[in-house]
Amino acid sequence: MAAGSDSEEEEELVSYGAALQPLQEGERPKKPVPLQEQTVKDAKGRYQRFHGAFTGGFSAGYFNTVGTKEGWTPSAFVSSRQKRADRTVLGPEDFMDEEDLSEFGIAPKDITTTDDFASKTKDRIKEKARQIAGVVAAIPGTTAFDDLIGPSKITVGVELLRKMGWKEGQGIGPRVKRKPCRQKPDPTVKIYGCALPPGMSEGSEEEEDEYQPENVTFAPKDVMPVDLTPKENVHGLGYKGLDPSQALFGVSGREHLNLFTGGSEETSNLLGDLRHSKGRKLGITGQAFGVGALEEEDDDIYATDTLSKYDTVLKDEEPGDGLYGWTAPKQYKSKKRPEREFKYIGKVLDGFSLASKSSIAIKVYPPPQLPRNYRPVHYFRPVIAAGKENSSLQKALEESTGKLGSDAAQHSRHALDAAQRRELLGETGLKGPAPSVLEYLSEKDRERLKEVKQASEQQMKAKPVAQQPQNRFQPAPPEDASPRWQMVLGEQLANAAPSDFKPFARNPEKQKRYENFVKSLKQGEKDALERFLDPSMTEWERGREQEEFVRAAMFYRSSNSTLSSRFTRAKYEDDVDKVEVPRDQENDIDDKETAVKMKMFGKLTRDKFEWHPDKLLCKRFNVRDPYPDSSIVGLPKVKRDKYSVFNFLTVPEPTTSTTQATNKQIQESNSHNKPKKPSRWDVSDKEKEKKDSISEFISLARSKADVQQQPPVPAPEKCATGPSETLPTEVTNEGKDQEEESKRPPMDLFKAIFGSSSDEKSSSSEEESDEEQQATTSVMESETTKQADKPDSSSSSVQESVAAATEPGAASLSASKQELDEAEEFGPKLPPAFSSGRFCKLSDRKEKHRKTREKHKAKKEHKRKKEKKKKHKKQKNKGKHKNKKSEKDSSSDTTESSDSSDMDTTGLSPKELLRR
Amino acid sequence: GSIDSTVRCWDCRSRRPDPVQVLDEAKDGISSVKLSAYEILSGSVDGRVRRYDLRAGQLYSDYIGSPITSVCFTKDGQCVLVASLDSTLRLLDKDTGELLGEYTGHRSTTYRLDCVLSEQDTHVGCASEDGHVYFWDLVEGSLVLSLPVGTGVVQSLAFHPSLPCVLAATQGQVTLWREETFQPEGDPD
Repeated sequence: MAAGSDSEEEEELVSYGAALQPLQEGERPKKPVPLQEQTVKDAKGRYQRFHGAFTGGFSAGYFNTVGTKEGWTPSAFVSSRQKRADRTVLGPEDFMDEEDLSEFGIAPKDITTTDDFASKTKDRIKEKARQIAGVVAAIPGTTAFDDLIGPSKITVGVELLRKMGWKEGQGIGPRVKRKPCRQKPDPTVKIYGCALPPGMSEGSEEEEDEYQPENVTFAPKDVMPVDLTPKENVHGLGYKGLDPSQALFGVSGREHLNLFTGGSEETSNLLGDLRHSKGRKLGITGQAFGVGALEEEDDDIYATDTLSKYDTVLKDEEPGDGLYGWTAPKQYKSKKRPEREFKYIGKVLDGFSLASKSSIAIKVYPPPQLPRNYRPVHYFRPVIAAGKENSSLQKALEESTGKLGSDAAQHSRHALDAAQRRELLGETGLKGPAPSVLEYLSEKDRERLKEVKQASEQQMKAKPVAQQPQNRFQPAPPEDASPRWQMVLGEQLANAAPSDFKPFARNPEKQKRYENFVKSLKQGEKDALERFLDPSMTEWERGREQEEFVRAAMFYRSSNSTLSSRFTRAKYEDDVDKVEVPRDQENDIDDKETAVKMKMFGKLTRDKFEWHPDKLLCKRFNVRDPYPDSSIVGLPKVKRDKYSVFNFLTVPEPTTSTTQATNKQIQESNSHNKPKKPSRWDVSDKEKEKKDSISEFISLARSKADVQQQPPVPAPEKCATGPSETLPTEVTNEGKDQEEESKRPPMDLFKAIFGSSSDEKSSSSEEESDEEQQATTSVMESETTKQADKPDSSSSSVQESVAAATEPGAASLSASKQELDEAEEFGPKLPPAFSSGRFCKLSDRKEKHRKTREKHKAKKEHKRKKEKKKKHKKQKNKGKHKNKKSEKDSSSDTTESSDSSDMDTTGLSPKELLRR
Repeated sequence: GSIDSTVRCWDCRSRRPDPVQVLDEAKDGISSVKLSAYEILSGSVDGRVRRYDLRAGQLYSDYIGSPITSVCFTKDGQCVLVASLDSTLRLLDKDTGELLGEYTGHRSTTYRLDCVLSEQDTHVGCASEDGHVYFWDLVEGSLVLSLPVGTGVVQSLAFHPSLPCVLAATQGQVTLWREETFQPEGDPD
C-alpha cells in the first residue's frame, strides 16, 4: 500500500533539470571545473566568440588564429579577366564573420518584417525625427517638401485596407447606423465660469444633438492607437521638453495655418485664445511682466511666417473628436462648438490646452476608523502606589490607558511559562539541577511563598513602582547592624557587571524585589532593603527575605562564575546523533557552595573520577599505567543519544539528593526560622515580638561573622525560643521524613536504572541524610525525659557534630572539656544551655545513636559496607569542625579501624607525627 | 597550566610540539600547577583544585569556591595547600579533601599570589597584596610572622626546598631572606 502510494507520488512529482548520474562504487566525485577554465564552444568545437569583427571583438578564423584547420593558406589568385562580367559587388556582409551574421551580430540573418509589412506605429519616431530635422534644417521645410514630392510608402496592410474601402481616419468594422455615443460631459467635470444662458443649457444641446441625417451610416470611430513608448527619461510625467518649433519661431504648433479647414479660425479660437502667443518674437520669450490690464497687445507684425506653420499633411483636425474629419457636416461642427464652450468658457492660459479627456475624479479613501475607546489626548500616567486602597484606582487607570488588554494577554495561556503552567496544573516541579536559592527552601516554605504570592497577586500585578510610599509608614525592620554588610555588598556589587543572575527566578515578584534591592545597593542606599520588601509580609517574613537577599547578593559573584562555568564551548558537533558525554560529571556547584560556606570540606566538596593518564605520561612519571588495557585517555566517555532523556536524568540525580541533604542541613541549622505551618504565624503578637528580637539578634550575629553564616543561627534561636518550640520541630521533622519517604521511590528507580553510573558520593550523602533522619526520629521515640529531649529533638547537624566532638571525651572528661572549649572557639556555637556535666550523657546517647543507626543500616541493607559508612560519618562530623585538634583526632580515627573509633582519642596518626 | 582551562603535558624528550595529554577538565583558567612523583595538581579559577593521580588513575576534584591562585604540596605529600582569592589559605587533606586548617590575615583578592610551605612543613607562607609576606604556624593556624617586604603587591614568593630561605619579589625588586644566624659565604666575618 505504502509502496503503491509512493510510486504514485513519484509519478506526480515534477522534476526539473537532469538528474546527476549515480556515483559508481569507488568512483571519486568529479571536481567542479573552476570558473577560469570554463569555456563555451560552438557547434564545431571551437571556442565560442561573443564578438565578431564588426561588433568590436577580436575575431580570428580558427581557434583565434587566422588559419584553418589545415593551417593558413592564402586564397589562390584567380584571374578575373574573363569573369569580369559576372564579378559580384562585394557587400559588407562579405567581410563579416559568422558572429556578425548570427542572431546577436550586427547583421542578423534572421527573418524580420520588412518595411512594407512593418506596422505604421513603428516608424513614428522616425517620422518625428524627420520632422524635427526638417524644421531645424538649414532650409527649413525641405524634408516636408520631400514628403510632398516623394512617393509615400504605403504598407501592405494599409493598401489592403484601402482596397477594401477603408479610409484613413476611420475605424475598421461594419458601418453603423446609429449615431456614435455622444461624449457626455462627465458629471464630475467642474464647470468654470458663469452660468450659461438658458438657451445654451444642456436641454437645448440634447435637442440639437438629436440631429441625425437620414440614411447615413457611419464608419466606426477610429481607435487611437495606444502609445506604448516606454518612458525612459527622468522628466516628470507628460513633460515634453521644449518644442523647437515654438522655441525658434515663437509659434505654437497648434497655430499652424490650417489651409484646409474652413473654420480654422474658429477652431483655433475654440481651442484657446492665441492672440497672446501671436505676438511672440523669435526665441524663447516669456511674459515676465505680463500685459497690463489696460494694454492691448497687438499682433507682432514682424513675426516671420514659417513653413512650419503650414500643415503639410492632410489629416483630421479635431484632436478630441476625429469622428467625422474635416468633411463632417457643417451642422454637426457648429453644433459641437457650444458643448465645448459649455465646458470651459474662460480663456485657456498660454501653454495650457483643454484636456481632451476629463480627469478622473480622485478617489478619496476614508481615514482609518479609530477605535471606539480612543482618546486623542496623551495621558501621562501618574505614579500611583499599588496599595490596597489604591488598587481600584490603579485598575481604572490601566483600563483607561488600555494596559488592561495587554495585561490580559500576559495571562493568556501562551504567555505563561512552564513553571507557571505547572503551578496552575498543580504538578510537582522537575527535579533538575538546583537553579536557585529557592531550591534550598523546604517544600513547605515554597508553599508558603506560593501563598504569599497568590495573596499579593492582584496587588503585584499592577505594580510598576513598588510600594514605596506605603513602606515609609511601616516600622523599619529590625536591621540595626546592617550597615556593615551593606557596605561590603555595595562594594562588591559596585564593580560587578550587571548580569542575569536570577536567584529567585521561580518567584518573579521576589526576583523583582531582589533586583531592586541590588540596584539600590549598588547606588549605596542604606535603606534599600526595607523599601523593596513586600508590605503584605509579616515582620518575620520580611526579615527572612532580607537575609535571603543578602545571602543571594553574597552569592552573586561566585554564582556568576558558577553560571559561566555551566557554559562551555560546544564540544560536540550539532548534527551528530550520538554524543560523547563524560561519564561522570562534576556535580552541580550549588550544594558545594553551601558546603564550603559551612566549611564542610571533604566528601561534600570532593568529586572522584576515573581518569586515564596517557601511556607516555605514565612512562615519563615512572608510574605503572593504572589501566594497562584501556585505550581511553582522560575521563571516560559514554556514547549516548544526544537528546536522550537519560542524558539529563543522570545529572539531576546526585544533585537532588545532595541538595536534599544540604537543604536539610540548612533547614536544621535555622529550622526555627522556618514556618512550620502557615497557621503558626497568626498565633500572637507576643510571639511575633519574640521573633523580631530573634531576627535582630540573627542579623547582628550575621553581620559580625558574615563568613560563618550558617552555624551561629541555631544557637541564639534555641536560647530565645526555648522548649515551647520543640514540639513543632518534631512535627516538622517527622513531616519531612514523610516527605523524604514519599520522594524516595523515584530515586530508587533511578538507581536501578543507572546502578553503575550513579555517583557513589550522592548515594552516600543520601544515605547519610536518611540515616540522620532515621536516627533522629528513633532517638525521639526512644527518648523519655523531656530535659534530654530538648537538645536532641532539634537534631541539628551542628549539634551532632558537637556531640561527635565531645564523644571522644567520654574517656576523659577533662580532655573533652578542653575540646569543647576549642570547639566553641572555632566551630559552631554550642547552645548555652549545655553544661559540661551532660557530656557523659550525651556521649551515651551518642552511642545509642550509633546503635540505632547501625541497626537501621542492617535493616536497610545498603550496598555500601558498614565500615565505609562509619568512616564517612566520621568524616562528615569532622568536616564540621574548625577545630584543628579535634579534626586531627577524628582524622586519626579515620585512619584507625572503625571499630575502635568511638574510644580512640589519644593515638596520633603517623601522618600527624610526621607533620610534627 | 593555561588560561584556556587546560593543563598540557609535553614530553621533553621527544621533539614533538604537541602535548602528550591535555587535561581539559577545568572550567576556567589554570592558575597553578604542581607536580609530585606521580600526581599533577592544578588549581583553577573555577574554584576547584584537581589532582590527577597517575598511579591510581583517578581524578580528584575539590571544590573551594573562590578562584584559586596557588596550590602546593606539603613536603610529606599528604596535604595540599590552597590559596584562593577570598584571602584564605586552606590546608586540605590530600586523600579525603577535608579541611585541616585555614589561614587568614593576609590580603589576596585580585592578584595571583604564591603560597609556600617551609622546608620542614612547619609553617605556611603566603604573599599578600599589602606588601607583606605572612607566615602561619601550620598546626596552630596562628599568624607567626609578617615580613614587610615592600609597599606593593608581593608578586612572587618561593621557599627554599631544604633551607630556611625565602625569596620574595615585589615591584621589580627581589629580596632574599635568611635566618639571623646565617653568614653569607663571601663574608669575611
